[in-house]
Amino acid sequence: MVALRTLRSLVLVSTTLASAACASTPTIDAGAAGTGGAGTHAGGSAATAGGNAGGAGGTNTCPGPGYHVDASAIALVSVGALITDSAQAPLAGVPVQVCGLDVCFYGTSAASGRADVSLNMSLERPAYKYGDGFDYAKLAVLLPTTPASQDLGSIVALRLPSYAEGSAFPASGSVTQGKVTLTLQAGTSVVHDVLTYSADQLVLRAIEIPLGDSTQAVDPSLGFARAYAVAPVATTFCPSAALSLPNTDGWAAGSEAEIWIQGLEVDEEYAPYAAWAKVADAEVSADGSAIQTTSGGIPILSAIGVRKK
Amino acid sequence: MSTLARAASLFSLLALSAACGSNTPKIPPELLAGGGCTAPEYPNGPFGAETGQVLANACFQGFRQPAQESHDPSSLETLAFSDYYDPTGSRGVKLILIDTAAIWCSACRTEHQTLSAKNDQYSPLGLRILGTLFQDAARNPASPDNLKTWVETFDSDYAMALDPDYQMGSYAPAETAPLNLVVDARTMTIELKQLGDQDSVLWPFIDAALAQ
Repeated sequence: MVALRTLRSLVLVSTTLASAACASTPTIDAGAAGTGGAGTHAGGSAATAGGNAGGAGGTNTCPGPGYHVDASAIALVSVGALITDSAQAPLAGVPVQVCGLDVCFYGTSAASGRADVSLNMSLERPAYKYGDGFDYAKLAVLLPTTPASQDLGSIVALRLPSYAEGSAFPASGSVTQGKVTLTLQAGTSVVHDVLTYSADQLVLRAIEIPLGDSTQAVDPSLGFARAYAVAPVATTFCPSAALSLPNTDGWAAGSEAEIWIQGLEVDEEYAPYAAWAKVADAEVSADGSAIQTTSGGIPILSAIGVRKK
Repeated sequence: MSTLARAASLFSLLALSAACGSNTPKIPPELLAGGGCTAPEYPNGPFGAETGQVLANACFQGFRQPAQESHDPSSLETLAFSDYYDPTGSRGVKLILIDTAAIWCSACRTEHQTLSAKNDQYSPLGLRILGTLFQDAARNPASPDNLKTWVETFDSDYAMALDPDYQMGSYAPAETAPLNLVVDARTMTIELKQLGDQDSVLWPFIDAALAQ
């Protein structure tokens, strides 16, 4: 049995590991964004079948800082939003969830675009998550403590590129999809969420998040210049993947920047649930063409934000 | 299987089909209602779905001891609530924790990260844990492959069953998970019904019930 227990199939780091991590890592108040923790992995080489395209199985040996969240339960009656496409036309069939640390509720947008979830109970640190990382990018909106019935207004759901347009993960080297390029060191452990995705869905897909239309999930106060949603959600890299983004805004060569990610799952190790945390420092390349990580990197596929220092 | 349970099962299946649309994968007949089973020794009704009421028997396909057996779909066996019915205490079962889970539910995943350790701690005291997996990440009925990946992801060493036709729909809607039922194995009475993974309520309750 002991041997079997060492064969954890990814995604979830062991309870012991998580507990140990939580004991010495940041504690945040509900609603606060995480700070610091430029996430260099604790080290170690790949211990799994990861490190190549479709790698699945085993344990990621680079646990994140872990986040203990003190959250009181919030009484909610219902939460809803109007889900639209980028042209503000209502979108039907977009999956949404209201998920707290303790319980999750599922819903789908109707023909009108309304995606209302009835709850009538208290949830710990609830977030409204839209998209599921299959057809639509997954993002989270941390819910305020009041009122009990919340209307989040209009939310733009972002259709991800098709799987055929996705890029396979290499054993090492760079993979680019859309505007996002990840570079994996040789020996990187790539751990996919095999509970969620089938093998043919394990390709990198990315889309830019329209910040002006996504203020619920990407708080303008974070100061991001650009943000991107990627899939397959929850794929982890150990060590973290280097990130390169186009310098679309024409920042001067050598300009310093920060890379942040959003915690999308309640057991997220790398960012607080439904909040953002810095995972890397970055700099504009000498030729001015790209923003590239200089320390830290992308430990997990989630939403990515970039801001100038 | 009781009429109530059959009716609930059928209703759940119809509701699930309606919810998932025409692309919902067909559930293999052998997995419907766990393939069926009989339990002549099980308590008679009336049955109910609330605290203080007697749990109707239900059958599932699953792994009784997934840490000690193959996870190949051909290794699935019939599990039933009646397997844990212990009116005289001869089986050493005092309480049953029945849990629902879906792959789309991250709170369910968090709960199952700790259940094997809880099983190690509480099984010698008379608690049996039975987890039921009812949907995948896209809300399709859970498949044997989903169950295999689940038990391997969480190193489950407690019973895990498939519930693709959501027989547990008698106790909570399919749009919500997890659900935890604590059942007295002597009478099959529901002692606690709790929506959500609320450790601070569930485990003290189990501690107190086992101490009685």
